Amino acid sequence: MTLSTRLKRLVGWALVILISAVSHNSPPGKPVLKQCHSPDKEIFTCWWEPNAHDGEDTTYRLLYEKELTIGILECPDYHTAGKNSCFFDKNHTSIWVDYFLTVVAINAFGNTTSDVYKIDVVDIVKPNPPENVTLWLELCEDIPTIHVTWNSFNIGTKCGWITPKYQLRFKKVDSKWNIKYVGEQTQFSIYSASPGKLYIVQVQCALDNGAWSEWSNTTFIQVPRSESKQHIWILVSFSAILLFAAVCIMFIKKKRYTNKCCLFHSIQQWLLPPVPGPRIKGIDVQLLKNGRSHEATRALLINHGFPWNGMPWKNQAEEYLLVRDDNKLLNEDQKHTHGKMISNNCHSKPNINNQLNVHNSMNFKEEKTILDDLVDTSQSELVNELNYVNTMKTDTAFSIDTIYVRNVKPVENSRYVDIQRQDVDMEYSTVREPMLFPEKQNKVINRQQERLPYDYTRVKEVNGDMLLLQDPSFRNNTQNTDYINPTPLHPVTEKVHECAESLNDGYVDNPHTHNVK
Amino acid sequence: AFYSNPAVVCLAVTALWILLCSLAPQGCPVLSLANLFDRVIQHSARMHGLSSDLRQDFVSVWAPSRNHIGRVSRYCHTSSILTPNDKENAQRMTEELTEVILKLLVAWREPLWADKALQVGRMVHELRTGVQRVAQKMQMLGMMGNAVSGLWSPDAQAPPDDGSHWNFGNYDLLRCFRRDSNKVQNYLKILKCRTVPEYGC
Repeated sequence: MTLSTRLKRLVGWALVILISAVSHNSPPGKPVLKQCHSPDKEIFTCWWEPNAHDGEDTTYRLLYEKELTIGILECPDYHTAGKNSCFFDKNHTSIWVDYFLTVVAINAFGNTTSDVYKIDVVDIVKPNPPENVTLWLELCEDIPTIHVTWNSFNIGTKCGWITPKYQLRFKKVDSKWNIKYVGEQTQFSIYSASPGKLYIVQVQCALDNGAWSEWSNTTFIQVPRSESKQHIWILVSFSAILLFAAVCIMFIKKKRYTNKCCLFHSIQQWLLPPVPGPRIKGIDVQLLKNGRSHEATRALLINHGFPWNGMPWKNQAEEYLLVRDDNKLLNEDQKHTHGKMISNNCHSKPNINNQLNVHNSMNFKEEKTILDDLVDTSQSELVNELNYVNTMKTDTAFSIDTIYVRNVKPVENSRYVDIQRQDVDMEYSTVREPMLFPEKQNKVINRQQERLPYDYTRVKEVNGDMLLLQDPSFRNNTQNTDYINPTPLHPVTEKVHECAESLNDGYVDNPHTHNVK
Repeated sequence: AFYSNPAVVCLAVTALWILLCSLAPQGCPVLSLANLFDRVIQHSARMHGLSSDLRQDFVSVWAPSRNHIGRVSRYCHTSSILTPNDKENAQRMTEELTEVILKLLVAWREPLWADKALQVGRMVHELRTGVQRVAQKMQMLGMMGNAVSGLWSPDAQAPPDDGSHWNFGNYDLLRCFRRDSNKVQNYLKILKCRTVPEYGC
């Protein structure tokens, strides 16, 4: 670029600036439509902002077009809403209709049109804040509650045209605002207000899905100090003094009587008397110590009889499989309850028995059932053990359904598990009153229901026709040789008789007696 | 037993209901109509909310400065349905309002149904069924004539259109649907306050 070109440009710019600065003979700047609001979805107002450089002689006109209307219309009211505004009254307001607004700035030298501003009145709804926000205090048993009410938005609410909703915020002086959504009610309560504090409350509202209004004017309320609290403090301090005096008196009295012991021990003895040692009635500890145990025990036996009535095990006449923590006890009880276990031949629950017997030789963990072990070890062969025949379902001799032990979980306070059943009509339930005999045998059942421990699974309805057969595939399983040999499938009738026979006694045979391998 | 027969039980319950409702004609049927209204209004609110979200998502991505989008505004395919555009006109109509609501819902079944991804299509259908029930109940109670009955059948045809809605860009479809769903919601509220004003107006 040559020097002359540059100079020319510079001069040109200078002239332009000079001209525009000296005279106002230019068209106005471009105005901008700032915003439009509708306070009630029936009227609306729009405001524009003129260009900063416009002179005083500039006039503005708002022109608009409406959807579904032909022609350009002009603002009906420039004055109601103040300067640089346009107010559309009810007659000129349509909802769900697009308005295309433009503002034209006109002066002696020309006019300038703003950009098109499109609105739909339903989208520009912003109400005025609620009025007449009132606060009043209620003291309910010395607990202060602040009640807030305000005027409801009345225009158009009764006919369903608009649905106002409210929101409230409050705070104690020098703390944060707490905003609460109120909904459509025009009242709210602040519970458990702090005594002696100054509260500030404000409310705002919104119409339908529109924007929230500005917050209402601030309203204050002072919560008085609680008088009863002072009373409480007096009471507390007085009782503390009394207590202290009582302790001192005690201490003084104690000190008089116990000469040697130190203060601490005397107070300790008074506050926390020693726990008496255990003592069995009829037994003289001295005798035992002296080594004359036979004398001591004789005294015991003569006086009270043996065995005691308060035997821990109620199940002397226990008739069912007991799941215990240690093997020994199990075996012993099995001996006691001879003939009261379920017979293998009956097959009502032989596999469970088998498992129990198997686990006799295993170590139990405490509080664990055998079936727990079944699940925990996750041995599918064990699961297959629990096969069940349900002859009630079909007309054929028998059909085999399978019970799978699933979701086994120990029942609280008992040592049994829930067996979830699949595809079988029978229902198992958690054990409280275990019942292993069919309901037909009513006599038997009643007796058993009385005295059963919590250690059994329950069959809800056992039909005498049912058999419990083992999975034939089990035969091939060589891993758990402790299981009984799988028996071949027998005809139904034979088993029924066996079952019936064994059940009629009210007892079933101990599986041990059947030589479980 | 005799009492376990479901048909007998049903009959007895119906007889009892009729007896009670005949004794208190204002109580029974009107209450259930208000209940019906509340349900359809709730459903329409949900539908409108969904349509707003859809449009908002679209706008935020494709047309951020929507207020200055330009003068051109395409017509909606429901523009031919005459709808009240202010409070006075809306309050004046009752029977016509129900008709307008149903017409709108019928008209929107087609374009939205095609787009399975939008669950609003199903919502439109459900809402239409609900409003039909309301209309039937209102007719049963003598609040309405028979003019609307043509729109009650499920096979009611959409107003004849030249398939122009298929030419809509998604923006226009969403914009139009948002507006119409708002109309439906508002009209239902007005209808409820005209029909059962004692229940929450």
